[in-house]
Amino acid sequence: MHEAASRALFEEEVAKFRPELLESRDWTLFSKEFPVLDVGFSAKDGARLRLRFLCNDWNELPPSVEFQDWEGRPLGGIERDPAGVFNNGPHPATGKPFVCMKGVREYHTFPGHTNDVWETVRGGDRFTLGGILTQLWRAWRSIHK
Amino acid sequence: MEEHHEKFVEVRVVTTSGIFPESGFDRVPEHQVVDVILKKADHHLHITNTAGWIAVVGGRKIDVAKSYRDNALTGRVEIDWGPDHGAGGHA
Repeated sequence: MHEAASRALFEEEVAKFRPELLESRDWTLFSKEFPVLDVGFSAKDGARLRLRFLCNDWNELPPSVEFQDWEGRPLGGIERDPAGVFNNGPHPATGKPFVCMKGVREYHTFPGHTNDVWETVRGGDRFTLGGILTQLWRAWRSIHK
Repeated sequence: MEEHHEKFVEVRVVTTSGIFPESGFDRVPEHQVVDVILKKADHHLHITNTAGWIAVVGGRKIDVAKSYRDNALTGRVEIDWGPDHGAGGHA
């Protein structure tokens, strides 16, 4: 996908993240400068998690997602959720914990999931950047209220 | 004869595709089913497929086929509307 088209789609989507949404969900928007979407989740129990979406070639490719601490350092381990979205792996391509869920690059490139191709869900309302982020937030909220 | 006073709630829908209404809250009868405003929000925000989406108010999942009253919602209501958590691949 041409970079200009990828950037335009990225910017169109992240522009819709209104302050009311961020406040309502306790999201912290660290960056929305293409190709990086960097969002932190906070919960009332004090837990926090930061996710760095690398969105190069969006949406020809799904985002690559890295778990980070609040200072932006990559996490070496992640707390599991009941649905099994957060996986300690390590992922064979990155050597890190990864998101094991449709819509995230590390899922679609994981051996055993390579037949579950991104193109079958790409463009759906659940698989916009906001849709993917929402699915991850709800998975995280299933362990942190 | 008993007087009937219709009660209202003030509602806003929050999504990652924007919010509805654009500003403030919509005033709707408390007996109206929640799905009515969600359909309006979908149309306004160009959301076309909400299969697998859930509506959450104050951390509680609500039944969109029921009214605000039947969901025990009063006053100002902010509906968080979006996809449920993803299914893990169990890699």
